[in-house]
Amino acid sequence: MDYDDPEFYISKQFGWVEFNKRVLEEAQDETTPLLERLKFLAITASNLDEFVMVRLARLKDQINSGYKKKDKGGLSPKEILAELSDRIHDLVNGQYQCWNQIKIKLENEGIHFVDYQDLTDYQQRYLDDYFNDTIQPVLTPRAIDQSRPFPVILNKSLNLAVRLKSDNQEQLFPNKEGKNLFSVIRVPSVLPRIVEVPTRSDEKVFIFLEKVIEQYLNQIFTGYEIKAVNNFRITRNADVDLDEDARNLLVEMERYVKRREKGFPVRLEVEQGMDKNIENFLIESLNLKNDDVYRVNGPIDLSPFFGFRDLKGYQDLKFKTHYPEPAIDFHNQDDIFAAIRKRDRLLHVPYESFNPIVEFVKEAAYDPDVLAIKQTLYRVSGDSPIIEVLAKAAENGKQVTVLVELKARFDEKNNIEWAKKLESAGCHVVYGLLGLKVHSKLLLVVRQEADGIRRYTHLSTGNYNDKTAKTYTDGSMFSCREPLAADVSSLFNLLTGYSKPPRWKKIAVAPLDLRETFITWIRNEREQVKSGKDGHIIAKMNALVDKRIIKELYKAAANGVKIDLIVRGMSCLRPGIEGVSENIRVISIVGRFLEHSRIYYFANGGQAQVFLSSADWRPRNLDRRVEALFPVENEGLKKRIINMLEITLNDTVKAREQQPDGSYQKVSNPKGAEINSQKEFEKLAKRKLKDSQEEVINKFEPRIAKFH
Amino acid sequence: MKQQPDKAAVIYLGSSALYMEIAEQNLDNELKVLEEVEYPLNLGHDTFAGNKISFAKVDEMWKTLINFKKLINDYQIQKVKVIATTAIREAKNRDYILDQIRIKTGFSVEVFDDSQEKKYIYRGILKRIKDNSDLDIKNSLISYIGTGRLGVAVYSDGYIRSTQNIRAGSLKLSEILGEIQERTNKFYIVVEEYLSSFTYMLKSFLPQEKIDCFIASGKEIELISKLCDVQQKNGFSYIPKDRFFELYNEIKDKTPNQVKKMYSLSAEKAEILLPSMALYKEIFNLTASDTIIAPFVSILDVILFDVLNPKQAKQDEIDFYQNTLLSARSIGEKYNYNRAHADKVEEFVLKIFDETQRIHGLGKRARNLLQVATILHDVGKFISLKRHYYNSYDLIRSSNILGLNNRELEIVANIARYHSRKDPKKEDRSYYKLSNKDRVLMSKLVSILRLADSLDRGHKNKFNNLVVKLKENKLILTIITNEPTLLEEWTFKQKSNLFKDVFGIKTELKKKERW
Repeated sequence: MDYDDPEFYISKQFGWVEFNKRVLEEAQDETTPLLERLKFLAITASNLDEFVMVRLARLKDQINSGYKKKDKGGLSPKEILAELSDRIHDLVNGQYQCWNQIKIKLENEGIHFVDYQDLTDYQQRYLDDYFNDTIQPVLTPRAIDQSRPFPVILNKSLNLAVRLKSDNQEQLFPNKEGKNLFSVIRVPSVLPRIVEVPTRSDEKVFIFLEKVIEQYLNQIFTGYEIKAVNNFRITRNADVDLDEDARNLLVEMERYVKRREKGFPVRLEVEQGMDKNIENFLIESLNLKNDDVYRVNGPIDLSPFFGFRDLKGYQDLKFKTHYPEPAIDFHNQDDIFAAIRKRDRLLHVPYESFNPIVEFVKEAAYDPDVLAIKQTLYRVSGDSPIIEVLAKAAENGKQVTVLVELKARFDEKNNIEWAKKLESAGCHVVYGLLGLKVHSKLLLVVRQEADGIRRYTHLSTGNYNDKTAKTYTDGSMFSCREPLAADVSSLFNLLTGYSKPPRWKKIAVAPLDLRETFITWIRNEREQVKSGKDGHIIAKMNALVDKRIIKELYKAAANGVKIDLIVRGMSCLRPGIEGVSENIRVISIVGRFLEHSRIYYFANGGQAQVFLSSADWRPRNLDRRVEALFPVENEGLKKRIINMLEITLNDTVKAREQQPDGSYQKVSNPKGAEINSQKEFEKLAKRKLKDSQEEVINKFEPRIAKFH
Repeated sequence: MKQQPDKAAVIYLGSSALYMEIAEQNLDNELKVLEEVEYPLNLGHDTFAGNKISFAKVDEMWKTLINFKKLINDYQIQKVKVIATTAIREAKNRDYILDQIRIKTGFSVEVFDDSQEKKYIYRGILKRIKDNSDLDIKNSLISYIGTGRLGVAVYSDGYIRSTQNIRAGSLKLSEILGEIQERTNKFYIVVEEYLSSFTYMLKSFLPQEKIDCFIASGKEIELISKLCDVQQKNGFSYIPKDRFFELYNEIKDKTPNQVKKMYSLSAEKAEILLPSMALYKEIFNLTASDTIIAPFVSILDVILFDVLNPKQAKQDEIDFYQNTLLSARSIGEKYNYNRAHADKVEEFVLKIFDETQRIHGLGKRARNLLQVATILHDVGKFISLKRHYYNSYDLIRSSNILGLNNRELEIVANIARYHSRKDPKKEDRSYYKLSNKDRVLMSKLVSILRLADSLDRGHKNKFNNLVVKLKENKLILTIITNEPTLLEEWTFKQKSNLFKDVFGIKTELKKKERW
């Protein structure tokens, strides 16, 4: 069997589009509350932005530089781009259809997105003032003609293109043939994109900022006749290289962020019915092809709807507020260190609260016995309580080492800020490794206890980010078992450049031995089947791309191992190939919470092995990032995690199953029971807590006096 | 404050890496390693090739030491020791490097000479053998491939009887042979030929009895045992002969690059694998053993233990001195020394030393040095009776006396040199080479040896009883014998002058007839 057959693999770009389509389905889903639908729509838009800036840009770059190598699906960059372009156009059409549907529904709810002409006099007068007082001071129109270079239009900025005719054109601009005169105005990003206009009723009225500016252009271009106005947006290549050899990575990173705003243009978004003159002028000036132009039926850039969900009131148009439950494993445990000493502890966010992690670091910062705290930080919210606490710990005289990954894409600006903050508080801040992104999420606390040094560690599938922990599903474990803690400590020594890799006792680490470890376990299932036992693998991750792993999965499946994959995003594996992957089932869950945990289960002939990891099965995780895989060894916790996997696999509401052609379909549900796994987890967290409380109450049993 | 387990850190500036181990010793005296850190930095390469460690590497070294220091602070370790061996010791710019390290990191580095390094290793190995109840070893060779020198020791019944150091450490070998290595795939033949001369030398040093075990220690054997896929048991691994030779045959005609790929090793490890296996092979063949016994002992572990257990360390040193004595005696035998005379003088010398404690104020170690010097003071006669003390000096200096470091060996050799007639002078190179302190020390010891030696001038063992009495300003030695002692009395007069000069006290030899 030739497992390299391109027929067996799906190009990852298509896998990505399929994923974003699934997100769009959530926006299209009538059962999703209206404002949440808008938020999902915004997510598809910002996902697509990132995809265009990085993936699409890279494809174009490859084509331009003559790179012709075929991918594992057997397609050249050119072929991929052609197909991809069609699919993205379809996706964008879907997005705007969805927007227009939602818009109508919102009107029924008294939320209106209007044009200027629909406003009352009173409202228009309000906008007069708003324009004069607020907008105009930050506008900078720039004229364009052959004699001036096309101005730099920043990546992802929304702009108005204006075609003008001067009352006295010849004198001002000596264009012999009386050609068109263009001007470009950037829609200020400092102002809210969605402008609320006051009303005299309960209704809400909104207008897009660019539509307001459009109305007042004649105030700016006095002496000109405005022939046409349209808005447009350029998306540029942001896949530029970072000079990691730079002496000061912080400074270089700041430069890099700026450089990215000026990469080559990849996509042009314009309004439908745009003035042909303007359109041609832009396409020509930007050196784009027709395929790169997206003519949309609605506002350009739907991502501002992301925050629109926070609109006051309208509770029935939103998900019921999610309150994470107190973590069951820390219930009634006053002393967090003592609790961990008793046994390993598991945390499942966002169903359970992120709080124990913050508490853990806080305890460590103030505990007189704690000597040192070490932590990796990847994407952290700016006002993160963890940053505060780490700074405090350093001030309290603890040795604090923070490994900051500045290279977390599109988060760099944010990262630079708090990295500086930590440094000034006296933390020892290390900026990752050359050429490798530090993606593992690790926390280590060194404590001097009566019987010696004890090291507490926390390992997670998700970032130390209290904000995202409310919406991302992640698993993490606290432990002070020595081999595991020693491994984490050694990993920190490696990351801080103190030491070369040691021999790991419990964990596996990318890019050193992670892929090999996975492959060993996959092969082990094959061996189990050979020796007459059942082989079963359940793996949950965000994306499945790595060809070597997929190949091993095929081999295992072909030899009778049952494989269940829960892959939220793109999957390059093709299920249902006769004799190869009939034993493989791939489902994807896209729901209210972002599926983010990476869980790997191997039946191992009855001695189940359960791992959590920060890594997906994709080359970038296995080769270009530092990732950790750690075993969950406590039998109770193992059971809990296996149960989590089972619940997810039984999802009938949000689960979509990947088809042999790469598309996804709602799972068939013959039994008819509606199982929404995310809702199940919410219930589970509540129920468990209740059980545990009852358990506590049961402990207050009266002592029965026994006299005889 | 309640009692807490003790913690310590030891840093070792090795030839191919900087190592650090942090450990704590719990109240049950069990050692728990908290951190094992290895930062690859090939200092040996610089030292052996250019004799000077490059500026860039010195820079990297102290920066790494500062990182290590951070880790030390993470655990709030008070007891820190930094040691170095060949790579630093033999670097031409050693003193500058040590000074820079001291200024930039605050660490003062203790540089071990080759014999010191070996002493710690052998001490560690002996201890491990003793503690391992699985082992029952009668005779064995012990080998330790240091970076600079290969050490081979003959072991029997709990002690090391003699040792031999050969300038063929792993790094040395690959430096010497490195260039050829890439040019031929029959490199192993070159290595084997090169080593055959050492083998010849080793054979001459082996005892008559059959040697039925082979104990090996060092980084290289750890690697080999890993590649041989041998299970560890209680920190020992046992490599069967056939498995060892299988591996040797697998790699012998491969270039380091191929070896590197075959076993995914680092370049440095791949480079030394063949030379070190060839070394072990030669030694292996000198024994009748079918296994290599490998106790994983590193200098770091031994030092770490010492730092955490200073009292025990002292005792271990004292106990280890037995091996030094055995080693000295075996050298004496090699040069046909007059054992009866040496024993007699030894007896007298120790008696005098012990009774004059008040005036010489010297410690146990000085007594040891005096004892060793006494055993070997006449070995030069093996070469020629003419000015035999010169020959003794040369022979001692070029011998490996287990447990003596270079400085101590130099003192012992000087004692032998001056035991006869000549008084120490600054003009003498051998004397000049000693530090001021050591000159005085040596002179004190030699003056005592002269007294003792004169009492057995005829090498006839005339006196069985010597009474030493230290009066206010006079040392009285009383011999009890019925034999004529004219010769001794005459010699004593001649030889006691130095004692008078050194201690400012007169000596008197009294004779008592035995009734």
